[in-house]
Amino acid sequence: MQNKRIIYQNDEGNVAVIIPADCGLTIEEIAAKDVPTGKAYKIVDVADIPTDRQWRNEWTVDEADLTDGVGA
Amino acid sequence: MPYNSIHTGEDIDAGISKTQGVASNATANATDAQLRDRGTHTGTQPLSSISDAGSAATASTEDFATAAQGSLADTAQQPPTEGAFVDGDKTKLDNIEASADVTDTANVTSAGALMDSEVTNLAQVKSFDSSDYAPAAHTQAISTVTGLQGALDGKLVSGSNISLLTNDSGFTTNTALSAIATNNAGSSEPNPTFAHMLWFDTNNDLMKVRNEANSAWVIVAKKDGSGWTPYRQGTALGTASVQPDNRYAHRSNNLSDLGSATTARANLGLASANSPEKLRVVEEVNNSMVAQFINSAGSSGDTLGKGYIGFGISNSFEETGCYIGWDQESVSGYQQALTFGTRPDIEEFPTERMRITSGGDVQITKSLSVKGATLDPGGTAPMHACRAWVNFNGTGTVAIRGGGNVSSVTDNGVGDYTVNFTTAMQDANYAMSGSGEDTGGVKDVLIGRTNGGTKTTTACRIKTVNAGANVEDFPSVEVMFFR
Repeated sequence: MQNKRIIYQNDEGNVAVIIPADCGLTIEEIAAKDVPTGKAYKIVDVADIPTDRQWRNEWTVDEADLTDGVGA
Repeated sequence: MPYNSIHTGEDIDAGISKTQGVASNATANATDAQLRDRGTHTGTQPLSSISDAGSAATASTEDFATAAQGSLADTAQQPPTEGAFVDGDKTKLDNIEASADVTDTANVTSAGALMDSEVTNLAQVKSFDSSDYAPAAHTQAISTVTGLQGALDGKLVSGSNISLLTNDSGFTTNTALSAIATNNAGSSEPNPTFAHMLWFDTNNDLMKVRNEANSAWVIVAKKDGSGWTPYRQGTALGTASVQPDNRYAHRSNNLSDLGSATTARANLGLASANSPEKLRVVEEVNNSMVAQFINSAGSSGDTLGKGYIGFGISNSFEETGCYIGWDQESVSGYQQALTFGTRPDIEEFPTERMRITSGGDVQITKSLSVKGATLDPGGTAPMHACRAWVNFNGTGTVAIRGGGNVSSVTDNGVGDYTVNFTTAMQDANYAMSGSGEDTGGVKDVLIGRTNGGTKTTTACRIKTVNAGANVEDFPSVEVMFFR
């Protein structure tokens, strides 16, 4: 789970990246709980997240790619 | 002598004389050497007439016994001294396998026999007699056993079943079973007697049991009308004169008190009327059973009192090492605390260590250790623990280093994060505190809530601001939440 991330598009239009903690919940349970209600999300590998944050606030995501679920 | 030679008269006479001596048909044209040579002889000559013929034949290595034998006569096998072979001997020899050895163990074993060396009790085997063994299975008629038939006939009643077996004394099985069923009830003791045998003495209405040594009867109960009075060590229980005089035994004056619906109790204490009871085991109150433990002061009534159950190596309460007790918290009602104590020194009275109050609070007088971690606060000010915390790296690949009650951290953008709680707070009125350092190692930074950002029972949004009042990703962000 430490190698996974959950991404969704927040209300500001930015890409939000959820970093799961080792709390006893599965990545799916964390996604369902911590992704805002109604927001579509996708679970990706940590390697898929850019490490260069110079333009962090300019990151975008295609909503059509957020296919793993919707925040509960 | 040549004919044309000149001879004298004497020669002629001599010749004539010789001629007259020659036999008719004699061979006259051979020399003496030729005539004497055995190779020119014809016919046969007995061997016996030839001197030294035997040694000549033996010495010759070319003389054969017979041509057909093909072996030298000099080396031919001579008949043994015990006599020559006879017909049939060769057949016997032909039936013996090549290199046969009659002492070979394998051959002997194959033939089903044993070598002497294989038998450990050789002497016994050789001296064994057929009368020494009995057949493996056999039958023997009863009639052939002296006295057996008669003995059996005396035990069985003709036409009856086995329950009527009778011993030599005429004691039948039916009699024995009947005695067992009635605990040998009778006016006289059973005969014979056995250890632990029961006997109901109908003369005295006493139930007795035979002692271990089978030497005497011990009374265990007395039939009293339709009931029974038990005995202990030969004396009836329930009689005032036999009550024990120590604090640990039953003191009730009447056993019937134990079964009473309203007064059931069994007190243990000193026999002396002036000494307070140490332990009242049970008392029925409002259909519930209550155990009361009274201390040496005998507290009761409307005064506050304490009671203890002591545990330790001594049978004296004052010397026990620890205790579970009760403490009356109010003179009215039944507000009583459960207390636990230990005895730090044998000379000291046990000290209270933990208390569960009548209101349900758990109070510990010393430090608290949970899974080896000790909580040891000083003073008496109440403590309110941290309900959630997290330490994470906000730069590069954002990652959580550690935390508690935090399920995840949401990276919303530069210096902008949301901490999500695993278990929700009771409300959103919690306090948040944070610290960290920026990318330059400066710790004079601000970690606070985002203006207008989320602060709910399940999550709190924070921002990391550097010393220049600019939002920045911090390599170390530490936040705590208290409620």
